[in-house]
Amino acid sequence: MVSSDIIKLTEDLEKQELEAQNGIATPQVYEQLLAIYLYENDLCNAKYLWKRIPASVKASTPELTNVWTVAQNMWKRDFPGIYKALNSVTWSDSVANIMKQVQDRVRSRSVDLIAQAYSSITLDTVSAMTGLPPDICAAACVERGWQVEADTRMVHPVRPISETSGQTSSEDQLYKLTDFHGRIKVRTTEEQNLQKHKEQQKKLTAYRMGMKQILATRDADSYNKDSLALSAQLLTINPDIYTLWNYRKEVVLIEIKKSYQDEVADDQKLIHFFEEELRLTEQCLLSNPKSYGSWHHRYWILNHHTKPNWQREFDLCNKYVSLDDRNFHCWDFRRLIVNKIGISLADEIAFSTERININFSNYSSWHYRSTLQILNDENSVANDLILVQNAVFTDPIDTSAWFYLRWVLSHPGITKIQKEDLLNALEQLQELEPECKWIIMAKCWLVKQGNLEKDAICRLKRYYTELIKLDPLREGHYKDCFKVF
Amino acid sequence: MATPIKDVILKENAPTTILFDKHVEFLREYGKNEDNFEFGMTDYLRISGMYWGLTALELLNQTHSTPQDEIVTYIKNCQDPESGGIGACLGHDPHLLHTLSAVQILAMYDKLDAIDVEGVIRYVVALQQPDGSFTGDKWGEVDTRFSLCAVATLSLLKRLDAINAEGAVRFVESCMNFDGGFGSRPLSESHAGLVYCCLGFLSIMNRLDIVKRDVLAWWLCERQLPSGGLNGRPEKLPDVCYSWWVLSSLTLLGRLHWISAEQLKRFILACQDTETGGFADRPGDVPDPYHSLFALAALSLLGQHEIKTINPTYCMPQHVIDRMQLSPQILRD
Repeated sequence: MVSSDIIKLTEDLEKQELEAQNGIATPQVYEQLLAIYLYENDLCNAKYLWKRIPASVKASTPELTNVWTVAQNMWKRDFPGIYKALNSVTWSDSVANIMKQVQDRVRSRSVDLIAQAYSSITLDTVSAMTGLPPDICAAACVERGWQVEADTRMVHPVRPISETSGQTSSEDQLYKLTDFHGRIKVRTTEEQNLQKHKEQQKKLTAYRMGMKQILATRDADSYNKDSLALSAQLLTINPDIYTLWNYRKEVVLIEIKKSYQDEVADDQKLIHFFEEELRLTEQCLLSNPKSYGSWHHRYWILNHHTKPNWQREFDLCNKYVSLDDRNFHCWDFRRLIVNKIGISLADEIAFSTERININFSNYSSWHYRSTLQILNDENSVANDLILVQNAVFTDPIDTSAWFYLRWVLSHPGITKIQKEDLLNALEQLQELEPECKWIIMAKCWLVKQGNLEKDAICRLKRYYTELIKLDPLREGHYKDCFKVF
Repeated sequence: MATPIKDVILKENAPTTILFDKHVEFLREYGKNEDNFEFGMTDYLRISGMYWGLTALELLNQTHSTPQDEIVTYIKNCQDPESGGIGACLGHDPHLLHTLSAVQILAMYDKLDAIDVEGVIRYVVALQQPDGSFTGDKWGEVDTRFSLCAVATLSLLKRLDAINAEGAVRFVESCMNFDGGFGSRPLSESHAGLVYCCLGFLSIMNRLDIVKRDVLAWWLCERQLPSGGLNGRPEKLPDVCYSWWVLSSLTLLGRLHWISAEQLKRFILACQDTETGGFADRPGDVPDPYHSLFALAALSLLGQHEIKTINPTYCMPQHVIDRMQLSPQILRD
């Protein structure tokens, strides 16, 4: 399918859905539309469609659930799950062709991802990410010019040199061009440069015309629908154009005012309006999850929403945290929502334990735990000491948990026995990991808290000398630490 | 489940000396062609962009070659007469970020009277919330970045008395975390950029005494990676702009010597683009004025003699801060 066919087919199907009698389209329309959203990797729209499909249609068409299972696995980025869901059923004629292409697209995106992100990777992982059996996968890698080591079963992908080789849309590239972080410099030919320059001039002109139109039609009491649509387009390309978010907030306020003035309050229309704003922010966040403007707009809309669905926001937040568990915007957003829906502290502590157990080395999870103020009695101190001790002993090279350990140890409720036990355990760990600076540092914290007799000072001196040797970057720090004695 | 350290490896042929003339050329040319794609598409951050480029040029002693009158007129036209705030460019809304950048440029040129100063003060004061925090504009986003913007702007205009100082300090203090660092709001994770904002704020307010000095300085010095570069949070990649956020913070705490200056310098110099000039976030990436300023500012703190001295609180040339008779707090032993 060429892209213009897809666009045409999508439009047709969306129209059929909209114009369906009683608002219920045929199962075939739903199936094909859902499949096409997957083909386009438009998981948001897939999700919304799934919610719109009446339960009766879902019940009478089991294949819809099969398509949805693929979508769920795509959300989770569970590659083996995606291929399993794609190949464990026989697709009917109405979707077979599209589902075949969904598989090709997923595979091709995985290959691009591997090429972009890895300098070496195991053959088994490549096989899982592409859904190809190892032998076929190895052959395909070699065909792409990737080196495959037969004995170690390691693959060395070749990073694509051209900026346009990825599956990213032109908007993605545009965004990357206006973001100052992580832009890899690529070599291009004169001809490519000229072509690129032409395209860029077109885009720049379009951007300027768009901004001009929006700003010219800005008014306190009414708004222009074309300008509103245009602002959504520009924000999808670059969510950092803060004036456009402001413009949209003004429009929302106009709509709210209008709905107050209506004789018959048309709540549904207003709700639809809010939902559209939420959809836009979700789209922007998918392409740039770190955009301050998109997060703030979403929260602002929810606060003006007549029927905000905080539970849905909470679920969304969970999903975003599992996609990138270091995105501090997500964690901040979660905190706002937890306050809104009144989730208990115990539940949040359980959540933080779960996150930490999923990944010990996630600093954001440890931080989150520290904000739940759980070191308020002997029991909680003891529990957290065990938790963090498990983490540092499992992987002493990881830095995150050590920061948390230092904090727990600074708590006055820690007993002398607990400190002695930990010190002994650290001594044993050090025998296994003699080069690990963190173990020695933790020993310093413990010794410093004890009786600073001559013997202790001698030990500290020995520890800091060792630290300077292992970690020369921070020599100045260690020297200052010892200077006080 | 061992997580390998995220870092970069510096190439052997990476530059090891500062390419002074190339940077001057890069910075001077950057804003000249209005139809340059990257320049044209970033109008929504123009005034801050001007601050990055112009401050970098001043650090390289090149201010005489910048069109000062034109710049001053442009800034003047970006001030919103109603609210008093300054927007990123003509037609865009006023925002505290650009208001500070505008005031910084004008202070550098000694042309603060070109704008409606009372308007700016009115704008900043109106953005303070009952809890002492500041929003970035009238739409309500709260962030400690804006606390710094507010007090830096007001102190450059000698009107720090216009706000509720005690409340402002209390809010920033409430953003302090278990690791001694600061985030964007109360209970938000520590981030070197926001640590700088909060320490800069406290330095202007002369309240660095509330900081857990050595706990925070330890967290900051642990940002240095084997490549010599600094990251902004644990387990993140190094980036030249953190050379500034971390280094200025360590300077304010009197703990600059807690990291290896030599290794950091090596990393920063490796981020230079030997063809076009300018610094990128990491070696081999595309350079831009933002990273160029923070690379040069960091090199200045490290004592690179070709670069003018930078003030760690304001990220402005020290001689400007001296001329304005400001002496923000720095902790020393």
